[in-house]
Amino acid sequence: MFFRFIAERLFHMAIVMWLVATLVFFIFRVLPGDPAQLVLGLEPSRASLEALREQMGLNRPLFVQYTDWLWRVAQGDLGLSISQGNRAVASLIFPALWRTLELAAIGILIGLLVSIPLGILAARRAGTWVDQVTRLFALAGFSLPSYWLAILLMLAFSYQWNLLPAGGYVAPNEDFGRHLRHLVLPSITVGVVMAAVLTRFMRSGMLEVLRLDYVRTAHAKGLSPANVVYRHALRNAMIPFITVVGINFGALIGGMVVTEQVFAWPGLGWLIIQSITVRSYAVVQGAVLITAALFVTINLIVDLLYAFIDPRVSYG
Amino acid sequence: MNKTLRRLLRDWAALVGAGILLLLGVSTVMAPWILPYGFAEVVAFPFEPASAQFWFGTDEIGRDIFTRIIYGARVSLTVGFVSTSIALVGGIPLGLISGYRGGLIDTVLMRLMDMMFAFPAIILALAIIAVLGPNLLNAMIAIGVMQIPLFARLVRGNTLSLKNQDYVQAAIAAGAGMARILTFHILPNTMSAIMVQFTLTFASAVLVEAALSFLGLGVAPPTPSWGAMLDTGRKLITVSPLYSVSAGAAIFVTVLGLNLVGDALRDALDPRMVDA
Repeated sequence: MFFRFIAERLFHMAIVMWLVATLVFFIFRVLPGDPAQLVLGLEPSRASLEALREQMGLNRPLFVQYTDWLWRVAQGDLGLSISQGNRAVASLIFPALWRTLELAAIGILIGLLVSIPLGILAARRAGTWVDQVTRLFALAGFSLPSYWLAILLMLAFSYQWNLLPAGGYVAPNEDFGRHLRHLVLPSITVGVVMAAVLTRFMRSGMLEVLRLDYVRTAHAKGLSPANVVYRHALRNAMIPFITVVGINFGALIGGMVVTEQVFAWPGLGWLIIQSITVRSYAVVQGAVLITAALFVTINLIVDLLYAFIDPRVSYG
Repeated sequence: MNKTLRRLLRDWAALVGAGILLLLGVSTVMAPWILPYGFAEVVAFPFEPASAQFWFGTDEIGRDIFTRIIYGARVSLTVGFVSTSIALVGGIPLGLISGYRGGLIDTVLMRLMDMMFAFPAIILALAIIAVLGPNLLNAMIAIGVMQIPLFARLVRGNTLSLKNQDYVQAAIAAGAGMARILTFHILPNTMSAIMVQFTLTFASAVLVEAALSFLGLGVAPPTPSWGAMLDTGRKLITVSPLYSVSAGAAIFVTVLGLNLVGDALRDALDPRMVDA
């Protein structure tokens, strides 16, 4: 049963990925402007323009270009970026993806470290001023434009107190200390917004569980309140919470487009914006596709995890 | 007075949120009569500091920043409202049909929604704007389209649980057609959930619009937009920090107002909430 469930989900995932790839291809092919001309500059000779169009495969029928692209993508070949010195698109995307994931992972970690204790606290003190302060924190964080928070942090820590760099990136193998210093402000920006969103869900999840009979039984058995909350209730409250973390991962990657831009953090979002400005189809296509693939994969993992930790979920 | 309203009036979040939105709405509509300057009018030298005359100082060509922030609300609120309406009008029928009919049509529609969900919202908007070109209308379309799955999923979920209720079964037995059942029996009972979603989606639409303008893909100058002002302010951060701080604060306060109202509305409409 479980294997059938996995197989079915994988099949659905493949269909979603194919639809996503198709959408990505056609969106970028109807863009106005001739990619070959953009590569060559303002007044290329007719011959060189024609040669490049031929080389890029732009003279073939659209459907042939589409099937050819799909076939190559399926094999992991994302093409060449001609406007970025004929480099393989994958060689631009994967380092950027890695940098985005690093930022996202630390952001989520900050989010979890803040939201789990805060959400539990708010649920245990539901209706009191503690709960209301948490609610205000969560709503404020949720309403905060991340790029504004980024600017405020920069104003304070970089321009006013001169403690941390205002942006940029240093590779970890180049200088690990400086790498970390560059990571602080962007990851706080990502983490605060994440914490706000997750706190709300932790609170409501916990509140739901604390109302259940088995929790009352645990209290009645004479267990300490902390024991009831952390050993009995928390486990069940975590089930819906994991889904929320997964869903927010996608939103997070989206939100990071702007954060990366502000901090000049050369991740996937930054790469997408850079490539849109130089009209590098291949890179934008590849980056959007990889982002979507990442998101779909995470959803699948969350689904599987959910079925795995909650015995009530049927695999039907 | 009904229970929902009574709960709302007792919730500080609802009152503060509604107050913010009211103040914003009134000042935006009344802007030409209550503000001394026009939004494109050069009134002083560039980068005048904050003063009684220019509350937030002047911008890079000498326009009053406070005036531009008040007018900027027009763009944000219009884009927020129109795009959320697009999402609502697109999402409701999809969700109703998907949930009510089930089967193949449900599978196909929901996979399509999954596909849209597979794009982080802003990236889909970037793609749509890259195709259509950056301007206000396209921003609204892009933001609206990408929010459709939110409403479709919500309405589908509600429809699924409502369609097996006795009163719906009774209507079917009485010979009511699908359109009638969906419009008169199911839709009214999902309205409260839709209302909450509308407010929260409105809030996130304002944020996305600001992000797009921030990236230079929203409104064209000289029309003031908070996102674009924030971007200009960022580049001039050492000259005039108040510029970006005030533009960002405008976005923050507006979105907070919407979220406060949405959150309070959700609590007030939740039947499991016990009145204290």
